[in-house]
Amino acid sequence: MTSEMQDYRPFETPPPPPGEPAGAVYGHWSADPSWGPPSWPPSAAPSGRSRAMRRTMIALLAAACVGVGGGAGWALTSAALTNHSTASLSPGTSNPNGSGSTGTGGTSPSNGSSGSGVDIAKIDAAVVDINAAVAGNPTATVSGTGMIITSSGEVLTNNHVIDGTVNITAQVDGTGPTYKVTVLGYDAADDVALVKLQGASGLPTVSLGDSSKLSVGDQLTVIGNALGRGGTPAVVSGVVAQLDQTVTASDETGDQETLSGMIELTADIQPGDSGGPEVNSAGQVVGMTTAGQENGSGRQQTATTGFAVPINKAMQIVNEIRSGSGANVHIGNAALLGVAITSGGVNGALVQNTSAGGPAANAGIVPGDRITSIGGHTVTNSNDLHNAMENFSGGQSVSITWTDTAGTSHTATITLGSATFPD
Amino acid sequence: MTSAPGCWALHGELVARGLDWVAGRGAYQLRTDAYAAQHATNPDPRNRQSVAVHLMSLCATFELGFEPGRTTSLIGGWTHRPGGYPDLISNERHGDLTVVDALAAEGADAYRTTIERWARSVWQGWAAAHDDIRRLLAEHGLG
Repeated sequence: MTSEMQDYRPFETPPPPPGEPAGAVYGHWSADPSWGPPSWPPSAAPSGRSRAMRRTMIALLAAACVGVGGGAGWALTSAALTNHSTASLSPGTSNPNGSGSTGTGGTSPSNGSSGSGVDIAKIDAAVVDINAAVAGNPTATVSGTGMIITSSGEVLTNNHVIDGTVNITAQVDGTGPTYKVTVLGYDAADDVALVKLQGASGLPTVSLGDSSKLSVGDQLTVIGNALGRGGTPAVVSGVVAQLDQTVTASDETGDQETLSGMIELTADIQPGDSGGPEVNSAGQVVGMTTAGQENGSGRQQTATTGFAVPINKAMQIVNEIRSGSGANVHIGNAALLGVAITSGGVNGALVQNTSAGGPAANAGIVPGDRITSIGGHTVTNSNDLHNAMENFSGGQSVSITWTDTAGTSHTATITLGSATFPD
Repeated sequence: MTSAPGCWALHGELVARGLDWVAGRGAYQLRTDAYAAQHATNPDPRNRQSVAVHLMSLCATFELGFEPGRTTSLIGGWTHRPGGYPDLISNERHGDLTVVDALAAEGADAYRTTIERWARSVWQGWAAAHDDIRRLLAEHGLG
């Protein structure tokens, strides 16, 4: 993450090293020329490309008693408008001690049925293409996939598809009606989000299966918005390679996450498939595509291994969101404050930058100020601010107190930004 | 993180060489830990979690004497922590070795050795957070 504003949430950059001015981008990568930009021609990708679309898996960590995996991958979102690959360039080295690869068919638009006899058209009708703008960066977009789980428009997708985005929309079946989307809640730790298509009713839904009955070797069908191209969802077939996998995913910005309990699938899935259904031979959704392990080099990218959140786990989180409580769930959409915060702090969260037009900037907060409380939560450092923000949702009005560089305290009431269209 | 795309691509290049296949689980795990911990950027809760669990893996390896790779089976149990993981990011340089050094290693033995040196340097680069990481491991009865 750079000091450049990329979203309206509080985010942080490490403090500058001694002797460097506040606000300088700091990191080992800039301190050592060997960490400089790559020498190959610059990617055509715009600088505003989203963090989510570039996420790449840096590790596949197997569960106990099974082999570790290797290779790179990505979380499967892509930029529809920018139409660039996720540029994840590292061929996979699948499972040095674990399962091998079993070849699968390539990606193709669905045409009504799959080789396994699954009625693809029926599932397609309950699949949506999700598109959104990256908060704070209007030139960047993110696209992914979702599946309709209630006729009133509840859609299950990955958190990383909607994280840090605004103006989310969803189009049914790639060519059907497009809806504005409201985020009902999410679980970042498990990369699950529940969103709602505004004003929807009478929609077809996917049929849910039981992921606990999955076994290695089971054949699955993966449906998604491959490469964010939109249109009729793409379909690939795959085979369950392992269960209960732990993976760490990252991207070129350094953002990373570690996910556990994942289904490993041998399948040629693509960026943009994130949030899409993985379907068993009975046409039931048993997993949600979440990440891929790359195989290929240069600007070619195919993923021969994918990772999915088991549907039982996803639905458990959905039910927690519906009930308004859960160990890791956030209810409502993310609250966006519009500040970059220097990591650490002792007398408040030090503002490194603000996003023009964001809630913090509108309140008069400027770089160098220290946020000392928000919404009744005392803030002494960056952690406190992050933790406090988890208590709020977009659109909520909260009191915020900060101290300016002269030591004067200020308090204002702000309306936190929202990731989605207002209802 | 202005030059991170370079690191990211170099890491991909490293993985592409496939030496994990021959160097084994330990090298695989240490490479993963080293890269993740060396690329701690912003303390978004997911970043905090991932960085913390990989630092815990390094701690278990270099301080508790776990065989490299043994933590592979443990990390999945560390991903969820009530209240999330603390922000461990500091302005230290997290290790003198980088993925560039690993790329320079020729052959499985050199690769394995370099990966271990890289991982150890990253762990040492996080010295200011060692106590915090030990406490996190202690929450799981380790240490």
